[in-house]
Amino acid sequence: MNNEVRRLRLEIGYSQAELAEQMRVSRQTINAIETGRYSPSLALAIKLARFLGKPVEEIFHVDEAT
Amino acid sequence: MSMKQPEGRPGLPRVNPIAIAIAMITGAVLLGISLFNGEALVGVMFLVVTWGFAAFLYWGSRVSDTVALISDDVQDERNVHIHQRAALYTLNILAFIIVAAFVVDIARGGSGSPYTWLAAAAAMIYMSLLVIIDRRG
Repeated sequence: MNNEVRRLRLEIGYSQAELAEQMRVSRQTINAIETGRYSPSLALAIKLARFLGKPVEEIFHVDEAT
Repeated sequence: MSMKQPEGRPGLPRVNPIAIAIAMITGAVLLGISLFNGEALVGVMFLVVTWGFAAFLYWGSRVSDTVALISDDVQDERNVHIHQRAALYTLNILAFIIVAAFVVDIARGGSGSPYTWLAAAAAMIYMSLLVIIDRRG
């Protein structure tokens, strides 16, 4: 699953550690989400979307071909 | 879109205090049992190992994300997933070892005990938990 977390995070000038602190997860979790190695729970995805000011579907993209 | 705040909310603790407490209490209990049995040196060794592990978690988690992961199976959702996967792999490996030991024991002319009972208990516990967890959704 691809996502726009990294781009949106950089747009608001947050580091991974700062975003992780806001989301109350580890920095590794944010890094794993950004690199596509980990798909967040629905709760965390919604929390991220609210914080980044975008709908969930604009942040996380499911590849329809797979 | 959110604006950057100068002071965010406090983040996750780097180490789960419950893990530290369990390690330290275990060491104290083992020391007490050893002293009761008149084996003070063994008790002190237990205490050194368990309290050393607690110190390793406490101080190590401040500098190493991997050490922080060891003690966190409840706070960070990705860490919870990692612990669950590690537990599953561990279970599968242990099950393989038990079955292999059972086969070797039978091949040597043994009765397969206690591996038979261990395998049966593991299977019963596993199936029971499948039902319980499935009913809870």
